[in-house]
Amino acid sequence: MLKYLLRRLMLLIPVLFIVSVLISSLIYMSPGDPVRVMLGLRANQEAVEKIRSELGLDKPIYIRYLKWLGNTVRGDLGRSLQRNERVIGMIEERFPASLELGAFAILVTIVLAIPAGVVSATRVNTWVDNLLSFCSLFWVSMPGFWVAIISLLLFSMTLEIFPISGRGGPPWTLAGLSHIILPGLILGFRQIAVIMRLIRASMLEILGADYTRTARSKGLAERVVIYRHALRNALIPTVTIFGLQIPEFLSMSVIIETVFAWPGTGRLLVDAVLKRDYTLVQGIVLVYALAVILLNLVVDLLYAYIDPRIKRA
Amino acid sequence: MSTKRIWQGMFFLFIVCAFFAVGAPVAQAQIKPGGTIIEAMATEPTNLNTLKMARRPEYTILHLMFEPLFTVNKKLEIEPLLVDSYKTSADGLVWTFVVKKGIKFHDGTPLNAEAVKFCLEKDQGGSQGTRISAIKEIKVVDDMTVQVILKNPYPVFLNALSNPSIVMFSPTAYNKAPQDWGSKVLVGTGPFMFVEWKSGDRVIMKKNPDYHHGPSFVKNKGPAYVDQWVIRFIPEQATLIGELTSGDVDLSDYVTERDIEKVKNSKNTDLVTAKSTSAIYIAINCAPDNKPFNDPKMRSALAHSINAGAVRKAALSGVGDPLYTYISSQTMGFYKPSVEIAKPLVAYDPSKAKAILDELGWKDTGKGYREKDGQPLEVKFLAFSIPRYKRIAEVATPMLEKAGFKVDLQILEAGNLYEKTLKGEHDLLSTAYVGGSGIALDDLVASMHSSNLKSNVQWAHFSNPEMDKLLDTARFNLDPEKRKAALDAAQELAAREIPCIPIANALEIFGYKKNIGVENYITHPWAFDQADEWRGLEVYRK
Repeated sequence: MLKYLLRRLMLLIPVLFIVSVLISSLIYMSPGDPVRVMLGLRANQEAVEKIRSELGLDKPIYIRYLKWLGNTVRGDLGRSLQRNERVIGMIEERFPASLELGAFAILVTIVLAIPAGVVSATRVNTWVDNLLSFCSLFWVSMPGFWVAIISLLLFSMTLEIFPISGRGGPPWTLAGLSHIILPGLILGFRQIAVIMRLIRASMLEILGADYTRTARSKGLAERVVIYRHALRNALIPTVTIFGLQIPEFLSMSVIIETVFAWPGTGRLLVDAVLKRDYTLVQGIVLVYALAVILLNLVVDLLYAYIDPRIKRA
Repeated sequence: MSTKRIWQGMFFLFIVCAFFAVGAPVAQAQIKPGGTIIEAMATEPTNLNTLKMARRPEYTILHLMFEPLFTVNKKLEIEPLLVDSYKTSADGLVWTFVVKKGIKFHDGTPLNAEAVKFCLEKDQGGSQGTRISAIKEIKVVDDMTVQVILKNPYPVFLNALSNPSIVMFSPTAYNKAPQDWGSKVLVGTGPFMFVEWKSGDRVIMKKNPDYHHGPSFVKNKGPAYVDQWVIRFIPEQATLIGELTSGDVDLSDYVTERDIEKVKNSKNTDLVTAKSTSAIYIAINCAPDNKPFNDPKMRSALAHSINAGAVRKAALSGVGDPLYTYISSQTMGFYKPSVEIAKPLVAYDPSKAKAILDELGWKDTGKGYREKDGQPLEVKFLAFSIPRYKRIAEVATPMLEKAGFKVDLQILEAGNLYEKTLKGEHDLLSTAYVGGSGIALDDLVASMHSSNLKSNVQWAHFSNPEMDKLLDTARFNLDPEKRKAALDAAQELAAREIPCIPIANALEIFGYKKNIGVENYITHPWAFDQADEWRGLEVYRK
């Protein structure tokens, strides 16, 4: 197991290297000059050239990339071109907010999707199943941006149940909790719909399988059959899909952070791209890539926990 | 004097005293000192570095903490702010300024001649350095007197020194942490002091209790009525309006034309509109090699094809006054008669457009666009991805197509668009001159003088020796009469040359909660753009 873990961790290096090459190429090649964006409309060529030289943007792309790579290997992601702040510091400042929102959404997904999927599968073709299926189809079909705006109008502005926007503080405080509920739920709901449908489908298949019939014929209680035998097996494909959904979580969080003025890294990334802040984009994408890889590793390790056969294999 | 007269006099005196005794507290009672004002902005600044001020978000925040040496009053005249007195030599080369005594930066560093010298030298190397590029040398005469020696006579030098981007900041604070300047350290002389910039969320400022040097035209000379001023960044417009009408935001000038009814109809909020110094237009690339748009006749055909009134109605919800020339009528030095020259050249008149195109040899071939020598009448139309400019382009495009132009419309975000327009890869550009100086001369120099061809705001790529000469006379001639005549003539020439299709003289829309007092602030004709720094002093909680 330890060997497997080490091998997976070693794989991080080439993956992150490829990600950094790809993102650097894309951002360097995209049209637009960070110095023009920084200095605005009135800046003349002389001022632009001066700043460009100060920031090292007059050097060839490969030299800039190698310099950035060298610094990154030493743990220094450089300074933001636009704000002249340390990139790592800027990410540190914004990452907790994104992490908090993401963790809340994942928690909501787990707490709601699994029971909903089980209920839907065990009461197949009843009104409960139809209602849950309708809800999940609705959430999957609706654009996230639209759902966020409508929820904001309904729950925050009209019914005044939740604050409209911003981050109220740590989530364990009342202010923090009240601010995170709506964006967290909306971020989570799309995943809930997907996971719920998946659990329902897997459960239906497993509930009709021979080993489930065997379990029932042994006289096990239905609850034990469902939760210990069927659900555990249904979780394997679910965990796989959950792992694959992580990048979508991150991209969706950009929209949610924008609508709810949530000060996370998603918005920071969008701003950095628009302002051609090369170093900041490279830094954030690297952190995102690392997060996706590590979360997928966690997902892979979860397989072994859920299904001991995988561990043995 | 008779006893009756004495009694009458005493009675009159009593009435006057009673009036002031009762009247004054009534006005004051409304002001509830202290509290926090939360202002919302849709865009977070790129940075808050005073030396890299470039766009409105930066200005709006920094105006509360930093001040230039001069300012513009309600009559649109320049008056001293941090300066006691000033004089200029007969040849216009030497300007002597005596700094106001007793003003300190927020860190306690005194504002003196050394500090002014330091700041002007640093400002020269900043993003707005071209405004004061005429400076050759700065000399400290004594503790409070500074002398600025210019390379050439520049009688409108005070225009630059009143610009909110040429500000005074603490040399001590700057030298202590130049790397953190604009992100963690900001020390000026303004009514508010920097506390913290929470990236992606807000900027927090607290009242400067030692501020007492508000200019003559503001009611409150300082300190500010409120204890704290917070600027929140809310990128989604619907959320911003929601926070303004039912949330914790107190005011915002990021209310768009489409939000007016919502803000007006809310029980909590009200709004005011004011003519802005910004002009909204579709700039035309007039570069000599950009055929056929290098011809003013063709530019006139473009203008005649577009119904600006309909564009205002459809794209700006009818908000905004008609515009006829390249600059807003709200700018200092605007020459009204230029409007009369421009009107017949840019008025919506499809038959005139058709006649001009026929005259220029562009024939209708029945393909849906006109052709000349087998070449289609193509127009590369670029627009900022900002909703307002995008909508204008989308509404104007079918009008151009109807007139026979083959339109290639591209909506681009700023970075990409700046690069393309700088290279002249456009024929038309839907944009506005926002955040200019508010001074007609400066705006014309920036957008029409050939020396600025390598800057983005010269999106018309306009190059005309006659215009350069007029603008140089308007800037450098020592005779004020000649300067004025040259500026007027430059505006006439701009009107004749049609560097743009004028769409609207923008209106600034300012929404605010009913429980805050804004009446003193909104009286400045530039309240919501160039003079927005005074909101910090004049806005109060009721």
